[in-house]
Amino acid sequence: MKKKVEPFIIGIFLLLLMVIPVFVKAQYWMQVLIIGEIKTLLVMSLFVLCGITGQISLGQAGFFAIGAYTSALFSIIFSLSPWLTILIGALFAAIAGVIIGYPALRLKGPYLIIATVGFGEIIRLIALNWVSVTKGPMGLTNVPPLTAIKIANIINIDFNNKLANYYLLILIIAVITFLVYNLTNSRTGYALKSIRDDEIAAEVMGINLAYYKVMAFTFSALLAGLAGGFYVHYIRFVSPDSFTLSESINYLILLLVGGSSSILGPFIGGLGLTSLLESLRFLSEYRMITYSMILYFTILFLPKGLSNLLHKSSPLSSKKNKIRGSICS
Amino acid sequence: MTLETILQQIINGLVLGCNYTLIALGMTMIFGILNVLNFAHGEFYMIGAYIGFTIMNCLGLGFWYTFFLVIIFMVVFAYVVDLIFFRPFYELGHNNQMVSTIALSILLQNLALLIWTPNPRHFALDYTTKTISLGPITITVQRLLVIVVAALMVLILFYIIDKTSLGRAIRATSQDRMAAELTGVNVKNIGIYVITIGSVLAGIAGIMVAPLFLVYPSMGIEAVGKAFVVVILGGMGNIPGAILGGLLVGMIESFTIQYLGAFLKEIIVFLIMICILIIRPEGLYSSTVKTKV
Repeated sequence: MKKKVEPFIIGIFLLLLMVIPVFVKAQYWMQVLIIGEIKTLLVMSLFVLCGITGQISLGQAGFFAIGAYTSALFSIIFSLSPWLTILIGALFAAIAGVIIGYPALRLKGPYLIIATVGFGEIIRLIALNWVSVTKGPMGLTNVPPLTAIKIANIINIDFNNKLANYYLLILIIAVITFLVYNLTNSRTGYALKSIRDDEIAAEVMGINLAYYKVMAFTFSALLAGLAGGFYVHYIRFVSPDSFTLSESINYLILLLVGGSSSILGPFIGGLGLTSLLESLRFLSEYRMITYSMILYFTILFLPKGLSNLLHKSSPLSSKKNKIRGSICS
Repeated sequence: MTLETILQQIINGLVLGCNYTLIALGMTMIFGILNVLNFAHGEFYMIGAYIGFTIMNCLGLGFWYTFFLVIIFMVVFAYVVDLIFFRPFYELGHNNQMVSTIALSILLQNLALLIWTPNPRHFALDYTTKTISLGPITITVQRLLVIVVAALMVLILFYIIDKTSLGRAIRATSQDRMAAELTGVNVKNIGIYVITIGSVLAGIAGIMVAPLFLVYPSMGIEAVGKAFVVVILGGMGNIPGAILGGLLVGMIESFTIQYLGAFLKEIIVFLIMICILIIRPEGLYSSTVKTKV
């Protein structure tokens, strides 16, 4: 049942996203939705690691920063096309994923969380203090936007406006969701899930823990790096303030409140909660207080996250989730 | 590199270290009992500093009256926090407990922003400027007090843990929850005692260093990163380890500032933590008999 429902809901969700610009003309809301899309990518990257493999990371902002800074620097210094530098940035982030993935093999639960906190903070502090390259706290300005796509004078997409970026990100999200969804239902996905549910049992069944854990870290870092690249060429500015520990904590919250047991979680967390937070702006200084209370009550009454409201999970997964609660952290 | 500068750095490191120790002790104990990383622990420290600041400014009380009022406030505060943010999540798994502490952290930070505004506050006491000369080095009275109070608190904590029945119950629960429950320990109530101890220690850290450093709403989230490092260095749930780890981190910071440059201090601290995690995940301080809690 679950298998059929999830792609259907995601399809509806993406269609809805596509028609939103027809009704919502305000530039402000377009901006909010684009940031929401980038957060969806980031939460998706965390979903691969925490939701599927059961490894909680608070270093996601670090991978995001590597992707953003690498892409921005390559496009500024070597004047390469941003399309290429985004891929280079994602590659660098993936390499960082391998580097952090290997030592993380020995760590579990809270130890892993704290180690990734350290990793994320180190990346941020390097960006803050390596002034000759990253311009330190001032940040890099004049990051070029994505170059326009021109095909035979008929199609000409200029990425200097919000709408083009918006649709581009929908496309990216669709592709990545397709990949991640297929991953969860593949041999590799079953291996990762078995690591999440019981590491020792998985190893006994002949699953190569080291290989699969490092793979999950690498894939997750790659996605976060990709998100960083698209972020930096859209905002066209990057400074260390965007990659603080609070940001990493925020992504984890978006995933856990959105629901880490289903691929719908990243959508609800990334786009839904980000839009919700924006629509609370009328509360001005009471906004974050209200937001924290919403998080609290959601997690109190829906311990498996909001995505559990949207679809009934199969009996197997609900049983597994209970076990996972004790293992994941 | 004269002897005086080294001694001066040792004193600075001790002051920083005592601060980190007081914060990390509660965090490591809460981890030992509830098995959860308390992300709101830095905010306990921030609240302690702000409450102390408010009592001193509005009621015009002296430092020591303020000190005891802050302790009373932190006890009440811990009770409320446990009731709302910890107790309902005992059955719901660690992830949800973690989200609830993060929600608490966001809530407290923004309440502080609302009540005390984002401007950093500074309150100076007589102690802040009065100095004492100990041989070749001079030290302000407030810095000396930080070290003395921290040492005193650690002694009281050791007394509670080692000699009282509450301490025995805490040790039993952290070693084996189920066995403790079977021998008649009310493990559900141990949580609130540990949170109270942690909250009081963090509040004391807040009020003791408030006259030395600035008080601002995001001071908690900065402290929590350091507290994580201390907890890792000492081993999760390990009380003597947290003391050792706290002093070590303080020393590393103060010597890095002196000899390598202030911008490197956090990078070096985090790098050391990651190395420790790779080489000895159980912490530096682990004897054959593991005293967890």
